[in-house]
Amino acid sequence: MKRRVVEWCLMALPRKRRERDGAVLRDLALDLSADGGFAREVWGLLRCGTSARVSALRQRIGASSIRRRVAALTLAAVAASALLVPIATGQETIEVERLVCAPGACGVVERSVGRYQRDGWRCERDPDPARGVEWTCRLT
Amino acid sequence: MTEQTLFILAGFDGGERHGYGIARTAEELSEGRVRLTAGTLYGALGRLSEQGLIEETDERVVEGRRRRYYRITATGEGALAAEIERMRATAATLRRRSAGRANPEPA
Repeated sequence: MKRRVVEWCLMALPRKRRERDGAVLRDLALDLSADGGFAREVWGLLRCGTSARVSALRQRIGASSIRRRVAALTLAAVAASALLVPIATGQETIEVERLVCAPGACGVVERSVGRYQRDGWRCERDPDPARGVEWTCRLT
Repeated sequence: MTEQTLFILAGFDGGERHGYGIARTAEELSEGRVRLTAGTLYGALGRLSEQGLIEETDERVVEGRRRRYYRITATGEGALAAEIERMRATAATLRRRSAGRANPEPA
């Protein structure tokens, strides 16, 4: 069970980083939590994943236009406050992430959505959002 | 240098170490003040590698666990020695100042 929870948490990491470090991080987290402190390990992995996603995003948009930067900053803010929904809600959703961008500047967001979909998330575009374009991705 | 980085570098002691060993040694050396999670440790190891203070040496499976090994570089040894010296000098200055307050010179 612990192993599965840790593997879910590793989904917070960007795909490349997960492929490179995932197995080592998982085994280390299991070793370090062998004598207790499992919740601490879980939050550590989620924080690490979120921060790795935000810095990867920052690097990708480093040389982009102001418009793209604004769109990506919005995305970064949303990613940083990624909403985690535990299974305890009674649904089978493990994690939910909302990605928002300004109309006409959604390239970065759409590429992120593509990566989520390749990682097995189900993403839906809000047809009539109040502000900009909004995607909701669910890991089930 | 943060306390976390200091104890990670100090824990190498010349040899190669894997993540679990580094985390446990940092906790022991800091008398429990530095407790690293896997996520925090790998973030720190990544930064130290980028700065050239440590380097990855190997990755192998030991007792069913995948472990990545690191060792401190000459640059890392130098940075650690410089930080220890800086702390020693700071401590000496503060000790002198504290002793001066305890025994003020007569006006």
